[in-house]
Amino acid sequence: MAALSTALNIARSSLATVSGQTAVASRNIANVNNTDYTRKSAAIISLSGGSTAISGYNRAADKLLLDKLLTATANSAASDSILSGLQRLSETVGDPSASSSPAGMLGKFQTSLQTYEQNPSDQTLAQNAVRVAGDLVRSLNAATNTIQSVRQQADSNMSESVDRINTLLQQFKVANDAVVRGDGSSAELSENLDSRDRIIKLLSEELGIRSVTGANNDIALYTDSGVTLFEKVPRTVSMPATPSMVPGVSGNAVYIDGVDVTSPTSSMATRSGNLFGLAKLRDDITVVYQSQIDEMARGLIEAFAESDQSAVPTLADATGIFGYSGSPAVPATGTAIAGLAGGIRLSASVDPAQGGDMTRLRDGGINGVVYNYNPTGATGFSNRLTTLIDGLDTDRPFDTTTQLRGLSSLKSFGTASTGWLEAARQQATSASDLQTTMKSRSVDALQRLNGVNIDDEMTVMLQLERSYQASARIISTVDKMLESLLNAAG
Amino acid sequence: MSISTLSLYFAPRNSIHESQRQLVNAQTELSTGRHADVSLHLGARTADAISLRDVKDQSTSVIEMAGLASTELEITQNSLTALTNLAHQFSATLIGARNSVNGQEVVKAAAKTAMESLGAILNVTHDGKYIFAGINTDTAPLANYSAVPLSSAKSAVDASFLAEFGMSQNSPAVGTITASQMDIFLNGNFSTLFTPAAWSSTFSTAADQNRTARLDRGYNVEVSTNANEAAFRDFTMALTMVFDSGTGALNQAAFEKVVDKAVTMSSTASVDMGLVQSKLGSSQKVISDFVLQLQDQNAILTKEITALEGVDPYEVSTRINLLTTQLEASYSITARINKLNLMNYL
Repeated sequence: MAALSTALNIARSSLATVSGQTAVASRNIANVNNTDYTRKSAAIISLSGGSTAISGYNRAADKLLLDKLLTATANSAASDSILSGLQRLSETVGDPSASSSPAGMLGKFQTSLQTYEQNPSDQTLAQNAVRVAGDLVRSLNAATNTIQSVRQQADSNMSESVDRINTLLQQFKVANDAVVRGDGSSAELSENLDSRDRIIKLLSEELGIRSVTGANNDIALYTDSGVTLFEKVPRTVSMPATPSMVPGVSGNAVYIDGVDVTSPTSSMATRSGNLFGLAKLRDDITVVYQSQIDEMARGLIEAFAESDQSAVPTLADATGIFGYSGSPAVPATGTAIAGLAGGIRLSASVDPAQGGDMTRLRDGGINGVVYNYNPTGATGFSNRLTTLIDGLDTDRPFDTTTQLRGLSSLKSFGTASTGWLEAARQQATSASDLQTTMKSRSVDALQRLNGVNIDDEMTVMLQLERSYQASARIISTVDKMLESLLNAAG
Repeated sequence: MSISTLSLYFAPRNSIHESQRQLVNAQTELSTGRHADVSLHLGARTADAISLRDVKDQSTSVIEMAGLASTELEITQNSLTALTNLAHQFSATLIGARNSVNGQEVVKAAAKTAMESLGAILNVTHDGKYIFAGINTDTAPLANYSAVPLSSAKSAVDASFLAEFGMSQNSPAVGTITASQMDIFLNGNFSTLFTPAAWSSTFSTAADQNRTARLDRGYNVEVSTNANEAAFRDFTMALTMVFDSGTGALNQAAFEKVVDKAVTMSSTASVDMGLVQSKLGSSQKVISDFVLQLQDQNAILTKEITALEGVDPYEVSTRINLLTTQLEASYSITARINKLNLMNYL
């Protein structure tokens, strides 16, 4: 009699356990398309007396795989943001066949001078050469605009990224607190763990993250460089956006808990994540590329400067057809002037559109008659043009902060700059491809481990169904036995 | 370990994206014959591609320009040949008329015609430029000697004659000029009118500086001559002395002095014209050799650019076939995986 009621109890506990497991399976199936979900399974224990119960829920989580995914995500985000900046910068270069890069325009300009030099009396050729000079100036101006807009974009993206990090850290606090307090049932606890991991994954897109688990499942977050992001409470991440980026003005650094994490000179600078990529773009790549374009502009002004033609020259050299805000003084050689390429212009006294005389390209004299190389006004005079054309091929000093050769011709400098940019883009593209693959491998590895397989869950459901049927059959059998017993007694 | 349903479904999807992207690139490559993103493919070597294209553009422009220069040089050479012939003819006329009756009228008329021819030849234009003007291409180098109002050349000659003999060339008294007086005049004050400095202020507006063409860095060749060269001054001197030193009314002895001096000057002039011709001829040779060299260089550059930027069409079409096959396989796998579900079998 006692044995029968024990059997009934066991069967009843089995029904409860099976329905709990069914709930887990259906929850798993419901989340089959959720990449942040980790597959759950119910842990079953046998109680004294032979009945069973659900002791808790297991998450198929793996700290090692998750850490790998975080690193891969941060690296991939960094290389993606660098690449997208470089893609935009390479708009200034275009296809080599179109000669639309400043270097290509320089070649076109030399060709037009060459044609003019052969026929210096031809006004149409003069006009053409001046027009191409204008195109060259515009391509330098446009390159500066593009570079600065990439910087500006990077700066505002950094500011957005900082906001996002702050928001995520707030959300993280809520999730982490819930975990630490152990709120709710054990089923809910595992959901809280999921949502906390999800936030860490999102954070790792913005910057490199290391997580350290402490007592009570409490997690502290650090950047990959060791700056504390979260320990019980979120730390403040701040960066005032720069409203208007101009060449030569550096953007603000991002501070976490009072530590500079983006300046290359900082010992605590983060080395991965979107923020790192954007900072590298804003403070390194665009700055160097701008200095190269600036040096091209300065080289151009220098190559076209004119000198005093008096028998005994007394006046200093002055800027020729290419001028800038400091005209007529010729800028010091071999020293980059930030933003010069944005300010280079065609001298008004040459540009027919501004009432200038385009034959000054042939004769000089932009700064007055003493600078005129052709005082008799001979229409077939070509010596000055020959000197100018040769000047584009003559070696001259360039600023070495451009990361290009310090002594080269203006034309080689221009093509070297294009080569520098495209090499960076090629490298960033392959880095980005690699990091994307790494990331998708990590995602895949994690998915294999904690993702839901419908077939699996369906099979489990079949088992559970059978087990439920068996337990129900036991109950009805025991019931019948008890009934027979009662009938016999009655 | 079981695999999650999500990664099972996503695996072919990822590869489909990649294959589609590659297929689009391959199609671009096949139609243009160049890499889809040339700069990305070349990376640092983009600098080489731009340099090569630049060198090619420069040499193409030099080749075009050399064509124009050659035409001008050709015209100059033809003009010089015509001038040499003119000098020979004139000498022949002078020698024939030296001792003949009416010789003075004959040579004077011949000198007038020859002067007109000389003016026409030296003032020839091509493409809006006066070929013999040096770098002063916008002005006719030689003014018309007999023009009205009086040309500066004619007035200089008149003044010189008047100073020497105290009479004008039209004076009936020119017959009194002796041979030795004429000799002194022709080799003295008259000659002075044709020194380079005097010539440039009276007879010619050409520049001494010749036009040059730049073939390469620091490599320039002269592509013109100018009307200030000794050959043209000497020939003009011969013509002027015959035309305008009292010829027509001179005594025979003085006339013979004029003719003899003119014949000498004429032949010096034709020798000098030969020198000018050979100088320009060497420019022509230099240019045509350089053009041949550039054309060879351009052919090589074109090959190099294609090697750098181009793709092998066979390789690309093979790649397209492979990608298409791969895509088809991915599609069919996706379809099969979708069908492969325990639900369908329960």
